[in-house]
Order: sequence, then C-alpha cells, then structure tokens
Amino acid sequence: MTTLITGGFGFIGAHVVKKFTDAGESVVVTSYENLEPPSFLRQEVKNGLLIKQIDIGEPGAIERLSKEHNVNTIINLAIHRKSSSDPAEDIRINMDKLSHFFEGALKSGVEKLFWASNGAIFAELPEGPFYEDTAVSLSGAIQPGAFKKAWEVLAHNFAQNYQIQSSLKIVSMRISGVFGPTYRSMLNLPSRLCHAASKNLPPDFSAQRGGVPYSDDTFDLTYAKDVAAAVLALYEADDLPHLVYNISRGTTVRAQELVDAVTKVKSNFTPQLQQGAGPRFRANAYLDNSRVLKDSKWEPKFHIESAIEDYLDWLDSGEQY
Amino acid sequence: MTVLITGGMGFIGLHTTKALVEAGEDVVITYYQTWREPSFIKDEFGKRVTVEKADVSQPAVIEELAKKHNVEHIVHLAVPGVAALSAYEDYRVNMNGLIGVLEAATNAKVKRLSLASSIATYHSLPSGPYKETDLLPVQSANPTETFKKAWEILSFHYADRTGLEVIAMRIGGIWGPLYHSMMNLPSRLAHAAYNGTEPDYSRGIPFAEDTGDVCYVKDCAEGIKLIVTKEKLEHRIYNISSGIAVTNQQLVDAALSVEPNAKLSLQPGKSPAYKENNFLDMSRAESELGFVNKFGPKEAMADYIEWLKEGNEQ
Repeated sequence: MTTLITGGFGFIGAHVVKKFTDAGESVVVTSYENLEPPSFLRQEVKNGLLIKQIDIGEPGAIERLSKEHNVNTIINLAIHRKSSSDPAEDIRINMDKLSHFFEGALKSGVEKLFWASNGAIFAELPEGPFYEDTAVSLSGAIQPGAFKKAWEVLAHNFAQNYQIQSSLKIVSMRISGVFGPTYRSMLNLPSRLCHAASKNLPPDFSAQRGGVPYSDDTFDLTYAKDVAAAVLALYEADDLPHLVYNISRGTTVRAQELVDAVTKVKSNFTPQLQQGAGPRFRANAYLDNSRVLKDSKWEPKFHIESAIEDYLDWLDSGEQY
Repeated sequence: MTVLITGGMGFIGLHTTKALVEAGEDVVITYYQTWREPSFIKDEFGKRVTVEKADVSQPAVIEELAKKHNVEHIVHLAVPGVAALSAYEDYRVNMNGLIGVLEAATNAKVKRLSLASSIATYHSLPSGPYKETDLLPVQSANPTETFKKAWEILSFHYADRTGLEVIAMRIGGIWGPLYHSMMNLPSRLAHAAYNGTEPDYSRGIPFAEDTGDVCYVKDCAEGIKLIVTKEKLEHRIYNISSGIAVTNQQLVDAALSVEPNAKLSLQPGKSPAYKENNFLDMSRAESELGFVNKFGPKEAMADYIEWLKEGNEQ
C-alpha cells in the first residue's frame, strides 16, 4: 500500500511527506518545479524517497504513476501553477487537470483521494464560522475561490453520482491559512513578521502587501506541522463518515497577538500596527474544526506562541525560508 | 437580431425558437444527433430559422457558427442526456461545452450569453421557496445539480474577468410537447391520459401530496425570450418557472378534467422526500421582465393532450 503525495516538495507537501515517512508509511512524491528538498527531508531523500518529476495535470500521469507503484491513496497538494491570462484558457487548463486527475484515479483503482481545498470558497460570506456544510455563493469573483469551489462541486460528483466500478472515495480537506518553515510567498502576516524579526529588519508592510495591518484584524492560521499531522490523522482514520473536513485551529488570531508572540521571543521587535479593525474585517472568519477533532485522532499541538517560537528557531538556524 | 441556441433542436430549444421567431428574431439552432421538425416551427426552417449540426464539446465549433451568422446573442441549452455518459465523458462534454460558448461569446462579440441553469441547483436545500440570492451547498446529489453549479461559478468568474454579460436561467421542471425523457410526472400523466393507459410508475407510485414546481414549456419559452430580448438586465441569475408548488393530486385532477375516464391513481400522503414550499420564488422575473405563466396545470394539460391528439410528433 503506497501513498502518492503530489506537490511533495511544496510548502505544505514537504511537511506532510515528513509526517508520513516518520510514521513509517510508504510514499511516492511528485514534484514538478521544486527539485531541491527542504533540509528536514534530506535524510529521507538519502534513504531513497521515491521522487517523480511530473506534472500531475498531464493526461495519463496519475494513472501511470498509480499503477506503477500500486498506489492506494493519493494526497493531492500540488498547486497547479500553469495558468493563462486568457480566462477561457485558464478555466480549460484548470478543469482539464481536474478531469485527468480523477480519470487517472478511477482507472488505476485508487481507493482514497484526499484533495486540498481552502477557506477561499467562503470569501463572499459576510461572517463565519465556516462549517463543512456551510452553503456558498455561486459567484466566482475571486480566482482561487472560484476554481476551488468548482473543483469541490465537481470532485464529489465523480465519486458519488455515477455507477462506477471503482470504490474511489474523495475527501476534501479545507485547509486554513498555513504558516511555518519553508513558506515562501510571504503573503501571510506571521511569516513576514518572523522573517523580519529573525533578520533584525522591519517587517514588509508595503502597499503591495496590503499596507500596515490593523491590530484587530483576524486570521485563521494553523502551523504547518499541525496541518501535516491532521492530513496524516485523516489518512489513518479507519472510516471517515464525511467527505469534507476543515483543517484549522478553529479560532481566529488578531494581528496584534501575532506581533506580541514575536516580540515575546525577539524583545526589540516592536512594529506598530494601525489601531482597530480594517475595512475588510469579518467576524468569526475561521473554519470550524469540530468534525476533524471528532472523526480523527488529530488535535493541534501548537498554539500561536509556541508555533512562532518554533518557526523563529528554524529561521534563526540559518534557513532562508 | 440573430440568436444562436445550442441544443436548439431539443425540447425547450424548439419552443424557445418559436417564441423568438414570433418576436421577430432570426434564430440559428444547433443539433447533435436528433433531427426534429415539429409542425409549429418547421415552416420557418431555411427562413427565419437556420439549422446547423454541431458538437458543442469540440473547440471553436460554436464560435465559427456565431461568426458565420453574425450572432448577437447565444442561449446555451445543449447538455448530454441524463445518465447517458460515463463520469469522465459527462464532465468533458458539460465543461468543454461551457468553455466553448464562453469563448464563442467573447470572440464573436456577442451581446449576452444566457445559460440554462436549473432548479436542480436548489436540490440540496431542505425547503423553499428558492430565491436567486440563496447560498447553496457545495455538495450535490446528482450530476445535473453538480454541472449547473459549476457552470454558474465558472461563467460568473469568466464574466468578471472579461466583462461579458452572462445570465444564468434557473429553469424549473419543464413539461409539454416534445418532452421525451418522461422523467417528470405531468408529462407521464398527459401521455397516459391520451393513451388510455396506466401512467409509467416504474420508478415508484407518486405520493398525492408531494409537490414540485413545474412549468409548461410554452411559458418557459416566453421566459427565455424575455431574457434574450430585454435590453438591460439588473441581475445575472433569474428563476424561470411557475412559482407554485403544485401537488401531484392537482396534476392528476388537471388530467382528469381533460380526460375524465383516464386511469390515474396516486398513493396517499407525502413521501420522505417531501419539502415545504418546494417552489422557485418568481418575484425577480415577474417584476423585472414582466414574466407571467399563461398556463395553469389545467390549461397546460388540455393543451398538451390536444397536441398529442392531433397526431404530432410526441
């Protein structure tokens, strides 16, 4: 029984691969662009971790890999980087990838497919919390939200609404904002704060990043190691009664609390925020996590302060990201 | 104005074509496999109505037709038959068809693209009335519900990125002349009343008090015509149906009012699937488009059975 982890050298993917190999699972990793493993996977690579440089969105790729390695579970964490500025072509690329992926999983007899989604599907809702069965708006204004929504809608149809030979079960994992080692895009606030504090620089509050944050704005954030543990726990659960699981700490954190957690470790790091809540504040904007807590053995190990401390340790050890 | 209707030789498509021709429009209709020429429109074939064979799932097919005929409005009705294809093929035809009409509308500089969405988008809600502004569950219980939701999400996303005007028409349960899949009850009752036979209850005997929002196809065609011809629309989703939760008993009574000797029976009570207020809220289409249903269940049943008696293509 082998687990195929797509996007296995990506940010979340690498943490998931680490959790799976630590747990003694047999894994095959795909990585298309990223061929350099993060330092915490170097030992696994030396020990012969199977790495395939492949674009899982290509026709036949999933079927070929799954058959070749006798794959019984797929954890899809690959970000589909290929996109187009032509909107029709962009939709075609993204929707083709989905269909190639599911067709491959069906044809190769894969039993379980864990599919990464996120809270962007709730972007149009005025407030949370967001439960797994919270209804959504079919408007498609926001790009990642639009494609994630369409994928989720279409994915469950493949698995459930046809008379098919395969016993494929598709589980959507709606993952909150994630921060921690090897995060690169620097969109989320804790990563920018920790990088700045570790280098003894002021944080990047440029207009391009949204300006100086508001102290009372809130985020739904989970530490990368906890997210990876949740994926493993869902994989290990004998029988998941649901098709969608939120992965989140199940609460919000204020911008000021993030700053304070960094200041606690780096006492001379004291950036000033704008006071109050910003214009885009939404109350209780987090993914409820009671379902994953009930149906798996996962519980988050890191609160914000311990996560920030762990992350700063990692950056202070000389890691670039 | 020239209107292109994909799947225009289908059940709803032909009635819509008639409504548009009567409103003075030229219509290009596409068909894939089945040729039909019902009496109410065939005299216009080759005149106001141009028929083209097209596989909408192939790239650029609709775009070429739209350019060739100087089309100003596309109505996308073409879909694969229910349960006709495998999961993968169903996906391919539905999604490639959508992308094809989006590209066609942009590249042929069409004024508006109107998509056939469906009452099925509301299927997973526990009760009605169903409004265009309702939030909807991500999970869907059947392929129609799935693809209509995905169409709306992706086409609105496309509209936001390109400026194309896209309208989703959430169409109720449509019945009447040329309906052939016989999924909905009123069509089966009309056929049974006309044939003097028991209705086809192979899927189970319906419950007298169960309800549905069914709309006669001629009314539906008027609704689509209004969407096509209205100069400016305030919204991008419109319910098109009767706006009434009619009971199965009322449908039987309507058939019996036309054919008093018909052998039509139901089982009493409500099924476990019964939903309260199981109808589409029609206030948006009524106030903005002036849409009204001309046919109640009795008028519709009389009209449909008359059509069957005339010996028309069924």
